[in-house]
Parts: sequence; C-alpha cells; structure tokens
Amino acid sequence: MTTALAPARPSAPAHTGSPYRLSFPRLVRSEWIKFTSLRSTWWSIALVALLSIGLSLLMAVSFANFGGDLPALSAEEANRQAVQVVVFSTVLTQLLAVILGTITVTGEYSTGMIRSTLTAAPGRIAALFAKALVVAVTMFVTSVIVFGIAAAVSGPLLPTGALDFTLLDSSLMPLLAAALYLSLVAVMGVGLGFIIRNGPGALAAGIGLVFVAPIIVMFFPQLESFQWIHDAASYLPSNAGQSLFLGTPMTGVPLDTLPALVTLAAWTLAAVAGGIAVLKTRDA
Amino acid sequence: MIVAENLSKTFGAKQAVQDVSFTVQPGRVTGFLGPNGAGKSTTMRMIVGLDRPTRGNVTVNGRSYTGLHSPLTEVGVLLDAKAVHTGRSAQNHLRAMAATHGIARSRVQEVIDITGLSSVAGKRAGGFSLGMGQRLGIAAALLGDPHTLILDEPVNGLDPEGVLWVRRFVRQAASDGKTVLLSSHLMSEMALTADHIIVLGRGRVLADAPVDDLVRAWTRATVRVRSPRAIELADHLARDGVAVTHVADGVVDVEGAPAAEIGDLAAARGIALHELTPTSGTLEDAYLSLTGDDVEYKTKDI
Repeated sequence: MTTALAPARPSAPAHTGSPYRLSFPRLVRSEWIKFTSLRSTWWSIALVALLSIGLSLLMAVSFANFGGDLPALSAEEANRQAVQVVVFSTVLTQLLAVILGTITVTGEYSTGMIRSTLTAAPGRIAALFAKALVVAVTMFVTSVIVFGIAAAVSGPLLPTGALDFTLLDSSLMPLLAAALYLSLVAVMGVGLGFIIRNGPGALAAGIGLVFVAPIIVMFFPQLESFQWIHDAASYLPSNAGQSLFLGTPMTGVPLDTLPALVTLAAWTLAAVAGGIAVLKTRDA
Repeated sequence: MIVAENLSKTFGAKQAVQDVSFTVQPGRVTGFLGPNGAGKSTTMRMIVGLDRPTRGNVTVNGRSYTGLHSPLTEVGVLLDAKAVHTGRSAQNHLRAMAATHGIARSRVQEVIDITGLSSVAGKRAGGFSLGMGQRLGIAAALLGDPHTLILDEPVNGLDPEGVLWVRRFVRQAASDGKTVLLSSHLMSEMALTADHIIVLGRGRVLADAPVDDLVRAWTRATVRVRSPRAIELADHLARDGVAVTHVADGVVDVEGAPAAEIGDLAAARGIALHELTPTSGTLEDAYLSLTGDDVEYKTKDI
C-alpha cells in the first residue's frame, strides 16, 4: 500500500516571517560580489601583477649585467638581494593598494550606492568591516601570488641565485611581510575613504601619506635641528613597512620588526577608527 | 506601520523638517505630497536611518529601522533611482543587495522579471535611462518581499506603461495588507494612487487625511452656468452664501447654490440655459490652496 505523504514541514511558529536575515558573513559575501563585479578592481590587480613581475625582472636583469666581481655572499645575504628584487615594486604598488581601498568606498559615495549599502545594513559598522576584510584579504592573497611568480621568474636571472626557501626568515617571511604591508595600506585606504568620502580628496590623503610624506622628508638636510623629523619619519607607514620587509626604509631610521608591525597596525587602526567615527555620526 | 513622532531635521540654519508627526497605516496607500523642498525625501531618509533626526523619532513596525535584524525583508526602500554604482550591472547590483540577507539568486531573477529588466540586466547601470534606473530601484526594494514599502517619487521618469504598472503594483500591495508610503509632487498621480494623503509644506504637515476628505475640505464646488441672460439670472440668485463670478460674456460660475436650484430658478423665470455643469474641486485645487504660502521655490505669474 502506498501512502501519499505530504512533505514533512518543520512546524514553524506563526509569523516568524522571512527566513532571510542580515549577518556578517553575508555582508562579506555581498562586498565580495560588489568588489569583483567592478572593472576597476581587475584593472588594479592586473597593474599590481604587471608592475611587480615586470620590475622584478628588470632589477634581476640589471643585477645580472652588473659585471665586475661580485663579493661572496652568505646565503642570507643572497636571499636579502633576491627579496629586494621581488618586493622593490611595492614602492609603486602601494599606491595601487591605497587607491583600491579608497575607491571601494568613495565610488559608493559618488554614485549614491552607499545609500543602498546602508539601508541594507543600517548598523553601518558591519558594512565597513566587511569591506575592509574583503579588500585586505584580496590584497594579501594577490600579493603573495604575485610575489611568488616574481620570485620564480626573476630568480634564475640572479647571479647570486634564486631565493633559498629553506631559510624561512630571509625568504618567505619578508615576502609575507610585504604582502601584509600592501594589505594594511589598502585597509588604510578604506578608512580614509569613509573619513573623507570624496574620491579625489581621499586619494590625495592616501597617496600623500604613503608616497609623498617620506619623499618630503628627504628634503630636510641631515642636521641636528632636523633630526627629530628624520626620527619621526621612521614611523610613516611606508617607512615602517620597508623596515619590515627590506630592512632599510626610504627615509628615517630602520625599525625592528615589532615596532614596525605596531606602527603599521596603529596607522591602520587609526584610519579605520576615524572611518567608523564619521560613518556613525554623519548622515549618509 | 510607520509612526513618526515630532520628527525634526535641521541642516545648518535650514529647518528641513519641523515637528512632523504622522502614522502610515497598513492596508492602504499613503501619499506624501508636497512641493520641492517640502521635506518629503528628508523624512523618508530619516525613516530608514540614513539621516539622523535632530529631534523626535520614527519607528517601523514598532522598532527603529537601524535596529531591524533583516531590514530588506521588512522594508523595501526606493529613495532615488541613482543609489546604484554606475560601473556595476543591474544583475550584479541586485545579487550584491540580495547577498546581504542570504536572499536566493532565484529571487533576484524574479524581481528582474517582475520589473521588466530582463533585457538590460547584464548592462552597466551607469548607462540606464531614468526610467530603467527607477525599475532597478524598485526591483531592489522588492528583493526581500517586504511588508512595508517606502517609495520616493517612484513614477519619476517612467513611461506610461511603467506608471500604470507602479500604480497597480502599490494598489495590490496595499490590498494585500502591506504598508505603502509613496511620495510625489504629481497631484494627478496621487489622486489615482493614494487612499490617504499627508501634505507637507516647508517641512511641516499641512494636512493628513483621506483623499476625499482633503478635496472636500479644501476645495469649493461650483456650477458653471451658460445663458444669454446670465447676468439677469445671477441677480435672481444673489443671496447670502452665494457667490457669482463672471467668467466670460454669458458665462458665470456660481458657488453656494446647487445646480438643481439654479435650474429650477431659471425655468421659473423663463431664462434659457445653454449649460449647467456642476464641478467639484480636484486634489490639485486642494493642494494649491493648502500649500499656497508654503512653496519654497515660488514661480512668478506669467
């Protein structure tokens, strides 16, 4: 005998309403869809890849054609040189990182999209964190992959040899640190975007902070009375980052690993906290 | 149900909304009517938490919008057609909005079909006409199948087919028991769509009443009389409470006397009538007399 059974239904209490709910993982998913559905994202990532791999090849070629006698290098020193070849491009790609982070936010303000975003997530802060997370993880993963490719293609050209990954401290760690740096710079861009809202203004602030500020420091002569400027410059984001993965910053004095990491974290937190403060208090 | 209590919003020195209180009931279409700059959009933005009220508060179904656990399934919002990233396709915009609440992709396709966007769903929203942008905004408002709809100027820029569709859609939503608040400065559209009207002027509530009551209270019924002996007839009609306006040679408008009385009087005096037309006021008249002094951007008579 066959009995037609109605499909078992969970006995839902009346008026539970819709099964759909706002949640942080869902906001992250939404931000991921938004991030990947814009051409500007792919252009930025393609440029990061092109610049990183291209510049590492150029540097490797110039090292290879250096001629003359090369001093004998220890394995660590050879690794340091190979890392430099790979991550030197961050001088330029940090700009793309801060731009990518910034326009993710300012693009929403300039188009009005932010009103859709904030009516879907009226608590606002979760939307900011979801955006920052998507930008940070994408930038980190992209950088790791791109550095890997750059190391693979530039290594064979180097007279001192390719990266020796058995020495983690002088190979993998600086590359991860550089990827972390780009990822944090992108998050700073997100924070600045929420603080300033206006695209050109936020870009100027971001580029000024990571790119222009350390260059301005170079114009101050190395005199006793300007020493404090050089000391303070060590704590600029890009200088702290370079201390971390190159050992020597463009300007300022080198920082140890921990102070460099704390400096980068502090800049990132300050930008995000500023973004939260503005997002919470100002009308959208 | 939307309840606003003493809502006020100040932008710098400008009082955009002043002490506005109202209740939007479920099961009917409530229209927000007012001239440009009357505070309609600002009030709607305060309802959904985009603008913080300077004073007062507003709740949706008893709770503040910002405290809702699933805002998209409770309230559908169309604030303006251009709340979309211009570089993203309509479909991806809707997918991203749906993803915030875990709304299924099939529902995204559904709202695209409902709003007639299928042929342009893959195109970037930046290239959309105003009407297409409105359809996309409405599609986004429908994603969560919400029981409250807040639509700011939904028919703005729509073609006649779209206007008709919106009108039927909100009427259907109201008859399904949903709460519908829509704004417009088009009185003719409001007269056709809304059951209840809140008139705003210079940030204040000027009237809050059913459409018919509003028209009755704020307009005067007149009778257009055309007769070769119109002036003579007017003299016979003259009494307290009756006002006669000369419109043209042989044409008068009579106010305060019903058409039957005028016709009987004309017959009794042997005066020929060529026209006897009662006209009731329109929502437009009611609106104009209500907002007469409250229009912020006043035009000059030409």
